[in-house]
Amino acid sequence: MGLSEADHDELVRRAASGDDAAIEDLMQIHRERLKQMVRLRMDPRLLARVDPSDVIQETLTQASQSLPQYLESQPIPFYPWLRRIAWQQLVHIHRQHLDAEKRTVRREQRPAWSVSDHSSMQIAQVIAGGLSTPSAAASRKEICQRVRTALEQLSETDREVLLQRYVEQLSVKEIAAVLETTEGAIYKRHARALEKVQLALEGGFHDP
Amino acid sequence: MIRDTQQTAAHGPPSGQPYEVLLDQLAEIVRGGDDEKLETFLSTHRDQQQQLRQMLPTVRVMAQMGVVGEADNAEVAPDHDAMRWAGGKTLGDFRIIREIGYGGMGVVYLAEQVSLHRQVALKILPLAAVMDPRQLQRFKNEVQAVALLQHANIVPVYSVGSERGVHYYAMQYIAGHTLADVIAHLRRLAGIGPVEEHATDRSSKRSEINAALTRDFQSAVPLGSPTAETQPMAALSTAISEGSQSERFRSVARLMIQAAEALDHAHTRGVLHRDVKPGNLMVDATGNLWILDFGLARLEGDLGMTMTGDMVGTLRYMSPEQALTKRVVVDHRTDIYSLGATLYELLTLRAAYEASDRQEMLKRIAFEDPRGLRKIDAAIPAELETITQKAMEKSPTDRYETAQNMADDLRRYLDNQPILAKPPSLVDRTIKWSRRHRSLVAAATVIMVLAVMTLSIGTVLFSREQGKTLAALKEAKANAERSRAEAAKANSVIGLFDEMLGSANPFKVAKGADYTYRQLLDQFATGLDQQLGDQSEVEATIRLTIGKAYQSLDLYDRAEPQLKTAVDLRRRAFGEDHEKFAESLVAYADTLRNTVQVTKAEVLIQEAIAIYRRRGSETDGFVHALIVHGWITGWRLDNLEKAEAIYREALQVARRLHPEEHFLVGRILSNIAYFLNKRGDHTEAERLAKNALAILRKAKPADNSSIAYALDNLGQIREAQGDHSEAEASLREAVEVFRKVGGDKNPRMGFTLLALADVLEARGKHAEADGLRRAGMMLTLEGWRKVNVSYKVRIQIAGEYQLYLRFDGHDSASRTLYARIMELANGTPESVGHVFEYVGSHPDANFRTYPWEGSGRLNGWGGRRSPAVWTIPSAGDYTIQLTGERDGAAVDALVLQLSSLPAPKADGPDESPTAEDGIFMESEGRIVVEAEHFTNRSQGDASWRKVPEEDSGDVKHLHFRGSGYIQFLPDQSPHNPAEVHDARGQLLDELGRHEERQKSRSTRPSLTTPKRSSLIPTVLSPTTSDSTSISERKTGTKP
Repeated sequence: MGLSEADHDELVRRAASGDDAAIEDLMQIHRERLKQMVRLRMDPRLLARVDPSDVIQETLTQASQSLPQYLESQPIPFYPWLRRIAWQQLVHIHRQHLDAEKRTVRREQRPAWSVSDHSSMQIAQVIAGGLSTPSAAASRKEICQRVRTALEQLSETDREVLLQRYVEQLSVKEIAAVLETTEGAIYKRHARALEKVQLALEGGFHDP
Repeated sequence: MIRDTQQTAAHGPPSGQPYEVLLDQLAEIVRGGDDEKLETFLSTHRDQQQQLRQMLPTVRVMAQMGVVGEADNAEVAPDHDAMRWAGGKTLGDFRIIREIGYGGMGVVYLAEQVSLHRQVALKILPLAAVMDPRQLQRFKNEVQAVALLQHANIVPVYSVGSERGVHYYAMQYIAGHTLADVIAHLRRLAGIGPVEEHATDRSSKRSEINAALTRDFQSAVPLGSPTAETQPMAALSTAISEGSQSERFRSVARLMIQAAEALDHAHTRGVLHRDVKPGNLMVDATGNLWILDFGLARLEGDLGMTMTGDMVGTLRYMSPEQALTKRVVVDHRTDIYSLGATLYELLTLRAAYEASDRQEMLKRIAFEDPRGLRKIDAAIPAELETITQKAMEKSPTDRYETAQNMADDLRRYLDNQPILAKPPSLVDRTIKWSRRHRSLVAAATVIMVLAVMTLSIGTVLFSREQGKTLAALKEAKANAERSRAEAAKANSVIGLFDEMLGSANPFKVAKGADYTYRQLLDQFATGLDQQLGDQSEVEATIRLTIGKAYQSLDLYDRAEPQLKTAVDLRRRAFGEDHEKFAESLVAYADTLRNTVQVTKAEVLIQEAIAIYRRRGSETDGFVHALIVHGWITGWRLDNLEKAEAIYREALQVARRLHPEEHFLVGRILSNIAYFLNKRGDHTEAERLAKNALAILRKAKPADNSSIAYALDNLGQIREAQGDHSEAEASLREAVEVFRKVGGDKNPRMGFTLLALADVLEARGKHAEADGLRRAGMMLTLEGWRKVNVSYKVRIQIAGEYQLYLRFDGHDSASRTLYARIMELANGTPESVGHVFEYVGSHPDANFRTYPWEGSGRLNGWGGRRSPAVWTIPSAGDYTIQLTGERDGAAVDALVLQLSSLPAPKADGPDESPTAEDGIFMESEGRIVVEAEHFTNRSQGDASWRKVPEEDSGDVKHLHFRGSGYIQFLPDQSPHNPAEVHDARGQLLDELGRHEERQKSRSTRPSLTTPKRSSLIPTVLSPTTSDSTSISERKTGTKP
């Protein structure tokens, strides 16, 4: 972010050669994005108890530890790798806090948490914050509601692509790495998902 | 419109850059906010400009989402304070006046009940929002029970209700202070720091509460203010400052009498408080004590909330029975304990237990006695000390029988009469202590003896080195004798220890005791490292014992290092041709097979058997070795015949060593029956299994698990014979025995539950089968390393379970498990085949699939509902379209393309399939599609018309390798065969079947989607000319 891909690659290369400053830079560069991701994915109930910054801190600590191993092979781009660690942290925390006693498979109702379920809720908040000009504020609520409805109706993968692209601000390449698919597929899915959101905003979207 | 753009995209955009890529670039530019750049971009891509412009508003909206993240993060996080209510706001009949308190269970407001013009305390329960209706109902019932209580010392509850999703609880407003405030105040006066300060208290919430409390406290009761004279707190503190300690203790007693009598009132009406603590006891201006929050603790329990740092304070007053088990059935004596802990703190101004973390706190409450009260403050009257200790006894039966009894004793103290409770004698204390620490005492003894013995042996060796003189020799001899004696002594202790560990049924013991048992083992294992060098034969024996004890607890990871050391030590001590060495090998191999290191286990067990054979040693050790070898051969290597032969040899040896009704004979027979059954000889298998069961029942083994296993075995044999009802009976009994041995979560039971689920499924009891299957999978996986299930079965179960996770929305958990499956498969070709059987259904499989050349069945979707089953009549490509219903509307929702390989293929652009919810699958012969799995996603009840009907015609079961692809389609968008075709192309590429892919390029279906004329239940039509058409066949079988 604010850094060309080549510069970023250079940083990774320096980090791989053991340059501590480069490692530090790398972590800092992605910190905000990570934070956004964590906030987006974290169950609102948890936000009252767990500070996203702590999650990030833990993530970065873990990342530093396994960095040498990662740098050796670099199976996926750097940020998706970092994000994966954060994700694992989140899963862990969610389990710990919300799911501890509830993991019985016999249960009939919906699971106690589902990371993606909450993202659409929070999207509404995120957007509400984003449309900050006075003129926009008037229609803010309505747009919010529509976008939220639209996102809720999307398939999980579509929603994921949009969230990752726009909220987490991943590049198509990174999304492809996260979802373990090709960039081509992401391009196409992104376009389709946008079209669906468009329909919804025009008021013409209905249950597929 | 949507269709148009897509088709354009699929054709390939004229401008060179695909539309989708341009759209993404558009998003990037919009986000950058550079309008000039945007215009340039749009004019550069003139041919797509119109489409892109159309999308612009949406892109703008979406791009907003990211902007805020960078600009102002603070706005995004839900504001905690936003949940608070400002004054003047109304909630139902209540008008909020101001906030008066804030704690874990919610915010408390002073409010006016408008209709009655009275002031109330209104507690808002933020947690209620996450309760399910059942929990909420239970909570409301509880509150209603509390509302019926009428006692001068119980805060009356007016109502519980909800308004606009906010749940509240209205009670009488009491102006006063909690005993927690009082204690804090007294501590401050006494110059002791606040109780709550813990190293763990890092949360901002905590300090917020503290600050609020302090603020509140200071404003309400200025220290030393004469106006505070009437406050009980002031009265108490005055008592201290005036040095009238006895009056202070009498005040405390009077307060506790009120509390105890109020509790007794509730107890006799069947209401428990569950969370008695200073913070829930309030004293008003007249010195009257009020108990708050009756039954609210249940709410927390129901929510299964994890205790966070700021709840350690509450833990402090938790009873030992609560501390030991999470979900214990508590009774009124739990409240008595907590009142005792409160009394303790009021008297000593110190918490009964202090700990820096939750685990430590629980451990102390469960196992340690609090410091004597009079040791802290000699002024505390002995009677009050005794009363407190009686109330806080570890065992509920040792406490006061009723809260009233406690109140009576307190009153006797006030009246200067002798109290009924007696201080425990030293002997009582010692007995109680050793009762609680029995195993630890034994361990300590063993370690002590070992230490002495090691020392002696060391001396002997040393003396021998130096033994030039007679004196030295004499000394050496004496030492040798002493060490022999010590060794004998040690051995007898070890024998005792062995017996204790061996006879203890690891599942039978209560959870608390189990904790001790494991703690003992861990401590003992650590102690060994410290106490012994690595040269001792005795150490080897002890490690062997410890290792086996861990095994019996299914803690194989812990057993492994112990047994490995034992093997090394015995090798050194006895050489490689000794039964003792062989014995350690068998134990080690037995653990290794359980940690899926089967190859290594096999090598070791063969080595052990060779030793026994060479030495002609017909012992139990040899029998055990054969049993382990048989297991490895049969389960891991799938060599049933050889396994049977090994077990038969074990049987011969066991029969020579023991009478027929010996445990080992029964166990071996049961195993032979298992393998016979697998090989198809059900009749003989049943005979042996029954025989085995009878023997085991008579032998009464220490661990009834073997009986349960035998029952399980018999059940599966009966199932194989087609006798579902008998099978069900046996399996149910097996489950029963497992439950008795290890409770509802006995991991050994998982496999049996799965078998029972299959039987029930066959008998049409789908609902019960479903529940059992899930429970079975859960247990099996939780006991991943614990249960003797072959790796293949584990993978299969894991695969199924992973799907359940996924379809229940636990996507990330599903991913984790998926990784675990891959890890478990560990690259062996055979196992990978099994993994691939499930990989096709993995969420990531949207874009991916794997070759699977073996045979098997695709049953990874479990039997949640009757699946639709197709039998593939012949090789060829098929497209199956299913129609379904969702929310009452017909939807054509499922497209399944099956292709035999090699198959014609068309070209596709270099993109992966765009199937939504697409799933590739591979199968042989049968495709099983289950609608249920989609309902979680569609959030409606889908009912799928099964197509075609189970064909009665003579369907040829051809071997069929295929790949399928399932796609959800919106109502209006008919399935696009080209997409499926492209997806398949990608699949072929990934499989490395490039030739096939090349060949198939020519047959890419037209992009123009054929309109379906009507909602045909199912169309199953071959897309290759040379295969038999389903419709033809149908016309053949149907008139």
